[in-house]
Amino acid sequence: MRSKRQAEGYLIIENPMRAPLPTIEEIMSVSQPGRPVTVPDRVRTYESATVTCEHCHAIVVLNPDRSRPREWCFTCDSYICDVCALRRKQGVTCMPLRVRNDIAVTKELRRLARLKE
Amino acid sequence: MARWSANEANWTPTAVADTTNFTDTGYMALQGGTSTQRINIIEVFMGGLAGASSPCAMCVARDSTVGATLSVGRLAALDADTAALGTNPVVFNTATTKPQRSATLSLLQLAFNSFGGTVRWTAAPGLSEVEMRGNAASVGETSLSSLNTGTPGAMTSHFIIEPF
Repeated sequence: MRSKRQAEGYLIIENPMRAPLPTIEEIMSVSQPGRPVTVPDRVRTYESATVTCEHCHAIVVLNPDRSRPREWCFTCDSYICDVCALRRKQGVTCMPLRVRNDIAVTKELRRLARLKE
Repeated sequence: MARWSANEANWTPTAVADTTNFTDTGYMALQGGTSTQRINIIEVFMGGLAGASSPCAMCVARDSTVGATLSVGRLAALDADTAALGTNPVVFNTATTKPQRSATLSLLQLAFNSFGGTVRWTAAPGLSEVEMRGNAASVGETSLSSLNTGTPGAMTSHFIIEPF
């Protein structure tokens, strides 16, 4: 049985030369009322799932804090990005990039075949 | 079809704005070998080689102007028994007619620090790969380049691709 999670790609960004983020307790231990807090930035590794919009092949890095639902095209049964979702709401019909590529390649092959005749 | 690796070793990106000519050896691009060739990009990887902090605003994007008269780079099949392709995709970083990144068709924004940093994006196999088609703008060429910001440092990079 197919799952939406199967369509997720994977992104990892590592910056090992930077120290990891401090904890809230460490921040509170150095903070003083009314004075700015300066702590070293410790982000080392960022990992996230990604999805590819079937209509335009833009790659979307998933934000775990997002509360709005991700857009899904029920015609091609795939994730689509917010831009393509807006176009769909404006009346643009579903046309995945793979289908457009198929049409364009077929046209080009026919054109090349006619040139050979 | 078989998977191939298109890669560039030890290159330093040149920060360039959208719709502006790239600088030779300051980018990495992949172009279809023929007007009907289709290529799926399955993985993008960058490994930092800089000796000091170098924030790189790297972007994988389709090119609105494709390169011409290309200097071919590294391309190798992942499987030792892969048969030769009829026409190879072209990976390049030097061209007489310089490519230009599209202002609207960026695919991945992969900022990182090339002072030892790495970035790897992998598609879900068969489901979320980026498709290229032909060798004309815009879907016929995809580039890895630095946006017009940051101080990019040396890196090595590859695309894992599947040409059809």
